[in-house]
Amino acid sequence: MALSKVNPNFVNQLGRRNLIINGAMQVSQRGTSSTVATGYGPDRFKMANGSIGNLTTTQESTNGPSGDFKYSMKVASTNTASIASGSDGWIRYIIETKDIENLVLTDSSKNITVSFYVKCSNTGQSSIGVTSGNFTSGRYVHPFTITTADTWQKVSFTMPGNSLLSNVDGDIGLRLYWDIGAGTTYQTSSTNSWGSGGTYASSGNLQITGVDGRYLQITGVQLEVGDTATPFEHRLYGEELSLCQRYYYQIKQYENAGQYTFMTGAVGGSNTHFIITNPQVMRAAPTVTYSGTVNLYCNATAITSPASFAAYSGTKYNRLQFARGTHTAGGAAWADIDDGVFTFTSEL
Amino acid sequence: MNITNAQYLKIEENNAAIKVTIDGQEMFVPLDPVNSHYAEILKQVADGTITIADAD
Repeated sequence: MALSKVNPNFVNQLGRRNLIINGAMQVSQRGTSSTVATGYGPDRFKMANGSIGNLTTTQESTNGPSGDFKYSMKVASTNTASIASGSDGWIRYIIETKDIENLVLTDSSKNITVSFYVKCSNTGQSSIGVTSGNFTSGRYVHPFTITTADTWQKVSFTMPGNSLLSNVDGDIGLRLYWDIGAGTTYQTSSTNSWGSGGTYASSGNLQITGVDGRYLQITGVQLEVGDTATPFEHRLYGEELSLCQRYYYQIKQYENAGQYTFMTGAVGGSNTHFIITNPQVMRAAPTVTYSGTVNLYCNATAITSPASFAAYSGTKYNRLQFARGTHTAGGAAWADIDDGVFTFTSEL
Repeated sequence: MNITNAQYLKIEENNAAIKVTIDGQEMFVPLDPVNSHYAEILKQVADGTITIADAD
């Protein structure tokens, strides 16, 4: 076929259309289930309860939209309470400024299309809100109707670019909010148009938080330039994991017995030092946490219960260090990560 | 974000990180202005909500 016969509009939609990382909810490095007030489900998607009890967030791996998706994110309420005016319950996704700064989304002659699949325990109205990076300058809220309970449906809408989107907040370029419990402070009745910010939900939505047993479930999230919701752009798991690790990763023991995870380092000063290379250059120097235990050795002699731990992080490399106790400086050190877990976070 | 027990950590006599408890969990936060935890720590210091202790 001659290249001249290829529809140019089609060519424009090939490859790397989706600006959302992990839109198919494949990657969930923090685990597959948690019951907390706020935190991450599948990577890059965070939820907040709006200060109303805890929510159970899960990466579901069954009963996805027929034929298209195995995984989804489900947020379910576990208690009964009233929403206060200032409640801000949501599922939130943030696009990094670097990922949109070449797209000129401030140009009103350009269009942006958002699509996703949604399932809910109840019928009624819900909404998705797109806001400027700084939240307070601009918002576009799109309400949609859950027509059948416990049934997947696809939602898509197209909005024009807007100068309000120039108001980023450092690396926070654009925010997406699915409403699960917005108080009146965060609601607007001006929908499907750009307006000043500070709100992210439409008035009259279903309340998920504070209604025991209710849930909202999403997957197949895509945001693309253009006026058409094209089919979801599936990416390989390895690609998606790498994209997620710009913002978060863990070092921990493999799940199967006999598969050890080691760190090698050196004994110097008053500590043992381990240099860890991040799997990706991270967005920012990450915050580091350490829990559980690792088995430390200096020159093949064990150090039990090191007196202290500290971490010094960078976008490419980190230094993890444990007190060396009475061991002599200058030798080699290694650590067998038993049930220890190190996390590295540079989320937005 | 509930921040307590903030203290600088040094490398070769220079402040290089902050050991801090955030929402009940001990964390090691780099002095990187685009790290969201560090930005929040600086905000709460400016608000007078917390102080950061000198390194040992």
